[in-house]
Amino acid sequence: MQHGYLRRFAPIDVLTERELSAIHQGALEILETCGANMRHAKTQALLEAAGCVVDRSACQVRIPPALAEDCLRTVPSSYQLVARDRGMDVRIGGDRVHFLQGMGMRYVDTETWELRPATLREHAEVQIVGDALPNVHVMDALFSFTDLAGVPGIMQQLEGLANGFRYSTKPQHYGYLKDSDQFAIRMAQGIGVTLDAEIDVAPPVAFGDEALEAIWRFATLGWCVWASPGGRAGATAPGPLAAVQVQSWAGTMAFIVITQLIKRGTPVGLHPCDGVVHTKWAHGLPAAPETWYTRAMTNQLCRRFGIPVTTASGFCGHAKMFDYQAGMEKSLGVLTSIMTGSHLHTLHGSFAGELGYSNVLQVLDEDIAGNIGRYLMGTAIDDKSLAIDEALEVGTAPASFMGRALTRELWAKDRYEPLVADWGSHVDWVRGGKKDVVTRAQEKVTAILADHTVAPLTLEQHAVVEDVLAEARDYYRANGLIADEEWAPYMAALEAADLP
Amino acid sequence: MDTLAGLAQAINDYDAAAAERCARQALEEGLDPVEAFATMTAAIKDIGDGFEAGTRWLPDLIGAAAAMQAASPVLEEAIRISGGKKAALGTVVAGTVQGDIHSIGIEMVCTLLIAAGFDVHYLGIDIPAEEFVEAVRDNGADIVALSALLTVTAAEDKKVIQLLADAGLRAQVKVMVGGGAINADFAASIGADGYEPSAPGAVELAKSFVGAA
Ligand code: B12
Repeated sequence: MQHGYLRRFAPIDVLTERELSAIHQGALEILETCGANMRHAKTQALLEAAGCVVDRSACQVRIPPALAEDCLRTVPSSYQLVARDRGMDVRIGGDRVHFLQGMGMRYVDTETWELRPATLREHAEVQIVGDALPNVHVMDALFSFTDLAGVPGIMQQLEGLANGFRYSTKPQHYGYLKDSDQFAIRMAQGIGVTLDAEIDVAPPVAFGDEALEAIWRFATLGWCVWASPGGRAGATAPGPLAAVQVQSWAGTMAFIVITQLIKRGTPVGLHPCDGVVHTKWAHGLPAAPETWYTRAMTNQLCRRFGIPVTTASGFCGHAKMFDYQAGMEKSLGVLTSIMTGSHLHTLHGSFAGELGYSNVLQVLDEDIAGNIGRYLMGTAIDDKSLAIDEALEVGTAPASFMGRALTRELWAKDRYEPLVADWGSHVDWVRGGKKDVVTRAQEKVTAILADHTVAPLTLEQHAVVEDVLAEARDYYRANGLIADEEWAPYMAALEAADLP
Repeated sequence: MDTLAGLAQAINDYDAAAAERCARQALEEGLDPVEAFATMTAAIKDIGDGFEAGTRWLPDLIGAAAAMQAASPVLEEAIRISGGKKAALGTVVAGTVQGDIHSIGIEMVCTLLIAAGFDVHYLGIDIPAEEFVEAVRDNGADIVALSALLTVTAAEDKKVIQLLADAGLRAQVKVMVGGGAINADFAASIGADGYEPSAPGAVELAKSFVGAA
């Protein structure tokens, strides 16, 4: 089991109990009075049978507060993800803190800082590096590069997941899109692992048919589903931050009601990606302090009701290069979220408002995770760590603790040693050719790819992956989602993939 | 303040109710609805210029566009009855393609197009190709603006272009495409007339289509 980090101290509360209750009550009122929007007949019927009022012409489903609160009670406060190497399993929740690979659409060229589709090989290399980094606890093979050259749109998620299974033994995460989750589930079952799935609540409080189909599939298996209610202040939610919270919480509770009615005890994670938008460009600002504060409120609500938070708070901002801004945005976002109680954190490699992904950045982000993790571990307070006897023995200056056995023991074990950040002296840096951190990270990527080996899939597992991919290709060809003219370039891309 | 000045002020104040009231009053006073419409267009253009210059923000533009849209039906009806024609740079049909529910980008594109003086018919999200074609036909659109954020829904852009051709409408309408999943190569490969990665760029492109650039 990858235990991640145990947070030794209580998370910070940003709301009083009365404020928290006001948000919760506001969300209940929205659900009861306005309701959630959905046209999916099977879900409407399920909710109706449980006492919801369904207005089929308007596609609105009004949810009684008692039902919402009852369903909240049966969501487990943690969930387990089974990996292909059982030693890599994770349990998300409680006071445990884990990190998840970030998401991005295109390959970041560090020469030009422009974005282009990634190749299948580049995608595979991202999985190998993610597998090697100790602070990537859960992989996001599906979302690391969602634009794969030559691969038809509909097959990108599945080809991504297949690479994830081939090149990592860690747990995998999925999404949904046009039924592709049914193939993902089959792949996972054939390999003997579980997946969690990120499913959007289209803000404000609406559920698309595809999302609901996916919720049914995952919840029926009792696998964890993440509610992703992404209300953005002034765009898809009202302007004030508290109102964003009310909207998101209403969406989350509707999501929870659906999952618990499908199967009681289905694990649900809250994956908030709400916050504020840029007042000129309208894109979301995951790296804005207002968004971080929104997350802090979410975290407190979730703690109160025992819902694991799989947050996307610090995963990327809008930096244009791997520079001061990039590091600041990521570390402050993820740290403020962790300090207020979230559990699994999207982080490694994500760039440019999710439009870019980079293996180099994945390595740079490892230091953010490692530093924060070390901070969370804090220190034990006991006789050994208080070291009063040691202090009495050594006495006062000019005596020193440098050569002491206890110092030697702790220097080796008790410090986080950065992977790429340069903590050496300035003089050494000048003498060493003034290497910048991006160059150091690039070298690290090269070294990992040369050295790291991933236990291969067994022959049976390999066959499952290939069979399911072949079936998905046939399925999407037959229903037109892979166009005839896409087929030849797709086959050529697979042929030329030169996978590791 | 005379009525037209009041109308301009209502746009400036993002006051939809006042804008509609002033529009009605203008008609009662026998003022020319075409001129009243032009007054609104000029007012919102000022706000658009402020947006470009960094002195106004997107919520200002959206507020002004909403005020303008509250008054527009009143004036449009009067213009139609009088047989006149309101001054617009062109008519745009816009929306996010079928299977795609991303709305923020296309709404921004629409807002900037309205501010620039286009007559915009925003259809919404998850719009089937057939609906775009119908709206182009019904509104005599000069431009259709398609948004697709997902690689998998980008193919819908192509479908719209195909159906426009099948309906014999392709020659009368320019197709512009955008959204995160699209790039210039893709746009060219499906025979779109233009692509832009940003909303201000979309306005410039639209202007170039109607010879107003
Ligand atoms: C917000 C968001 C959502 C929200 C949407 C809420 C809403 N009401 O819009 C929610 C949470 C619902 C959502 C859902 C999903 N999303 Co989403 N989403 C995003 C996100 C983070 C931001 C989009 C956005 O609003 N940008 C801000 C606006 C202002 O920018 P924009 O839309 O690009 O528009 C600008 C330009 O492109 C241009 N433009 C836009 N339209 C047009 C049209 C024309 C004609 C022109 C000229 C220009 C133009 O002008 C705009 C202003 O400058 C993007 C990542 C990203 N950075 O784009 C992912 C992203 C688009 N989503 C993605 C995915 C995969 C999904 C899901 C499938 C997730 C899942 N769980 O599996 C679902 C799909 C649901 C569906 N069927 O559509 C992927 C797409 C990957 C791909 N290659 O296909 C992205 C890229 C994230 C990622 N890196 O993986 N999403």
